[in-house]
Amino acid sequence: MPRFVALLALVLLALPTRAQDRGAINGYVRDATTGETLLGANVVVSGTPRGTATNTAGFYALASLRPGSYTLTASFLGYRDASRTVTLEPDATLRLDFELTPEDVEQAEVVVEAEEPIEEERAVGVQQVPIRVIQQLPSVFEDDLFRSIQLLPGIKAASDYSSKLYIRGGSPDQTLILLDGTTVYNPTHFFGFFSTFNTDAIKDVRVYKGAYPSTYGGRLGSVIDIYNRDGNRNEVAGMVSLGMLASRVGIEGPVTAGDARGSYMVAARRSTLEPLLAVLRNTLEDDAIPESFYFYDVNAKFGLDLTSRDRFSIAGYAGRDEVRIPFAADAAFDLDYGNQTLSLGYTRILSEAAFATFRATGSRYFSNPTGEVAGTTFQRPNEIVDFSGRADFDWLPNRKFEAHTGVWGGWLRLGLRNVFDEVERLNVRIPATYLSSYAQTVWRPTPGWILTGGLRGEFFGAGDYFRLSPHLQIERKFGDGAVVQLAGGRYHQFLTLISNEVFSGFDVWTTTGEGVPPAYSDQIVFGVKTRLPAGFRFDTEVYGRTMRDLFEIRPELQDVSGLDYHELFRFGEGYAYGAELLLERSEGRLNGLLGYTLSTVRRRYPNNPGFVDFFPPKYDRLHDFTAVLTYHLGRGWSLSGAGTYATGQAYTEPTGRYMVDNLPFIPGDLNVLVSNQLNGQRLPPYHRLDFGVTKVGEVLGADYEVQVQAVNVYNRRNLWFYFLDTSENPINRDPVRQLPILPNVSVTLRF
Amino acid sequence: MRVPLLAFAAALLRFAVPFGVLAGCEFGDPDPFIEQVVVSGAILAGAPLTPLQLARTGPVDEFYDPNNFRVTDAEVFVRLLTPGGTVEASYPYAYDAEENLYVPTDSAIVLPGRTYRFVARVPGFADSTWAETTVPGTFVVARPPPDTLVYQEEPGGPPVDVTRSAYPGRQAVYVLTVRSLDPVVENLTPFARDLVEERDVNPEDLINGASPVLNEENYETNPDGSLRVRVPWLAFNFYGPYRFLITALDDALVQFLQTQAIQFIPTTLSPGEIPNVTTNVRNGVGVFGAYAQAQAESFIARP
Repeated sequence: MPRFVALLALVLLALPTRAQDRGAINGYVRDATTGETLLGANVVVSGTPRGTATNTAGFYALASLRPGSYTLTASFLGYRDASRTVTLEPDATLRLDFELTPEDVEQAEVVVEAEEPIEEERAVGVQQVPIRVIQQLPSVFEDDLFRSIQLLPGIKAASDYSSKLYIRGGSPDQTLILLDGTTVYNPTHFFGFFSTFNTDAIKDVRVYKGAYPSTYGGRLGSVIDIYNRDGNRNEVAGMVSLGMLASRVGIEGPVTAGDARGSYMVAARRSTLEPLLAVLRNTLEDDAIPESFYFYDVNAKFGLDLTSRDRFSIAGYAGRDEVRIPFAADAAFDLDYGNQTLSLGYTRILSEAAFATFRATGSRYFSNPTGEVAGTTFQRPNEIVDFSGRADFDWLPNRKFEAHTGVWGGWLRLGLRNVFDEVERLNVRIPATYLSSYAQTVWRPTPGWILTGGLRGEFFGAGDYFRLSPHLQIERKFGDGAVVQLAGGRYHQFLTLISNEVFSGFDVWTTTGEGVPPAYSDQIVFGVKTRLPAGFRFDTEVYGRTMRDLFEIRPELQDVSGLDYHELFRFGEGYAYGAELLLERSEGRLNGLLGYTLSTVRRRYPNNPGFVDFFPPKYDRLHDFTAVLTYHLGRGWSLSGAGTYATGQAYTEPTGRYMVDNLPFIPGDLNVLVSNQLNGQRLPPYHRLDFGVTKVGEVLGADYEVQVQAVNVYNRRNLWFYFLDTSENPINRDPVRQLPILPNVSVTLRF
Repeated sequence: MRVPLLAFAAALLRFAVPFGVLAGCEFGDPDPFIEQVVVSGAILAGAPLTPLQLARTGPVDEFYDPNNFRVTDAEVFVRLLTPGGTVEASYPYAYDAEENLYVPTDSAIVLPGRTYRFVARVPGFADSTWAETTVPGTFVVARPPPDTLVYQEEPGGPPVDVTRSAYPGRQAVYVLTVRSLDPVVENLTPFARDLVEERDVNPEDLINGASPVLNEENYETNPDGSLRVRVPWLAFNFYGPYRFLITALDDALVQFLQTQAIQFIPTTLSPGEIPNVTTNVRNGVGVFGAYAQAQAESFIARP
């Protein structure tokens, strides 16, 4: 007990005890050329241990500073540092905004790196993904955010054909994907081949791979927090880009309304496949070529600084894929799916050390696959509509203590219908209110120690479930060169995505309900982050996690009519553990990352025969090695490459077979395969190298960028799976391969 | 303070060595083939006991002719159980070399709602192979479909009204089977003609068709309590006379058919993830099932 009292006293001492004469400095950190706020930029007080990072609005606050003269330095990856010396009067709050100039990468060798505290840059399990790196990486037809994220340690792809993210043993639905604070439910185009996010519209991406903080919730594994660009606050700018699969346009510029100043941004992308499809249809005369196919997405954002303390913004996204394939006479297949989001945001500087963000969000995912064969129609529309409101408060009263709290509530409706031959076989409409609230504190008892504790309470109305999700993180800093981190927490998930790895157009979301409790996961992560000479960094993380009460639609169900909701599901559990190494260099002519992951994931479904024992899911791979390098040659030329080597994926190797040919109501023979274990064998190792050349320059007053790239340059035909052809005897095992060598050329003009 | 590069490299080497050791452990030997007894067959409610098959599994990478894998020397019984699980009657089966099947030596009618146990002692296998099934309730056609139906005219397909089949603990589950009684190429429907002419489908493969398993709740209930089952137009590949079989299944057949289908049409499973079929056979594989059946006929006319 005395120890507890002592600890409590220590905490209380760290609580806001603002001395009478102390002052504060706060403000925004922005890009000097566009006025965009920079998220996660570091601001340090030279000669002191004080330092902080901008929040998701680009705002920082340094409170409880003694009166005097201070030199503050702001820094951000890819920008020149900026320092300013100011004098702080007693009891004063000084507004100090920084504008950072983008770094000329060709001179980056001589740029002095800021000596910011290392823990401000890298919380455990967090990775910031620079958009300009993504835009330079060789890509399959289009820059793709998620395909670039797949190159990070601990994050895997199911195949070359999928942009979905399998993070630290979790399936794609275990990652919360937020766009400007709004949940995006199925961020894919082209049936999973691409993610929906147009890199022209994105400002910042943060990947929380595990043990994420209490400020987020609702998913078992990880968070990807994406922020759209606000738009250029200084001048009107535009871009046009022509690519092999899609073309993009964008415009942005400043807005003024009286004294208020702001910006807007619109970026749109549309596939341009129609001419190619027309040629293929006419030359191949193949009905499998779609009669029509397109996808598009539009991102728009408008923001206005109402006062020096208040900012309002509205952001929207709409994306859609539509395809129609008449695959035989009197037979056609139609698929229409997409996402729409809308976010209204209001941020206010409440005081010298307090900041508030309010958001109202709406999100809709819809999928409407329909088919008609010989006069028989079938449909399976699925829709999620989600309206929410949230408020988040940051309070940074002094060097030792900060607090974050917030509430997020909303109403969600899941709709899932199954109509066969105009007869409705399933009509599930699950409305659910949800409410969550969190409190998180950060305590720095000494300059070397940081303790972060948080608790999130979550209520979900479908089934009336309330769960508590605690989170704790301990960090020990050793100078500015190394930090050791330990974090853990429990996480809950009330939704699950029923997904086909081959084709995302059939993806279906389901929720908890009566007899279907939320899934939960316990996670622990240990990390060591070091800064090395010559701009290198080396991070190591070791993680372990459980997955319990996983719920999924039973894969064998052929008809769901008349079943109770819980009868649709199988319930499972799993675990994952691994180690990740990341060597990264973010500056200089040669930069990039080398990543290695050693990992294992297992699952089982005790109430689902065939899945009773622990088995490795297909995406389980023991070893993953990734190298992503960019070299700036000078005169606007750069080379980039991405290489991957990974253990082959798990698959089931049938050992035996038999036939059942005497069921009088089943025509023909039923072939049956017998295996000793589920996914007990491995495909050959996967490896691939992508390479690209980029030239940037200026022509007729506009900046241009030409990219010539090749994916899978040595045309390694990696194996995806074996197709077992039972029409042959013995059964023929046909290998189904992944992407061959693919070229990509794009031209972008910015003006 | 920065970490010296050499110290870092040394630490990295120490860390990497165990991974290198582990790297050799990820690939296992190919799984061995293990021979198992295969039971197949289903008994029909209200009918005499039906013949059953016994076979052995074969290696997946070798030519498989079922006749070469038949078990011909087993001791086979089907036993009627009391509700308490004790044996009420035992019906021996004998191998019929001509039919390559085990046939009952006594004539006994399969009782709906009752549970039957299959038992086989197969030489070379230490444990007896056995399985149990509960027989669905019998049902009949309450109102046959119209004598003639114009193709695709009736929304939802030809109707067949049937009385209800009972099954303990759940709704009835059906398979609908159609059989063309005059399958000539001239009578192909447009969709089937496209399959034959453009996609090299053999017309013989279009004569019979079966639905996936379908729940009773799919169908509307008539005022008299009978069930209106509709056979979707998708099932008809020929114009002309057709026979419809409506088959109510026991649990063993439902699970067997559903899980056999996902071995080849994996729905939500990853490609290459092939679970074993769910079987009610212990110390073996396959299915020993039970079903009830009704049938009707109609003529499908050209539009």
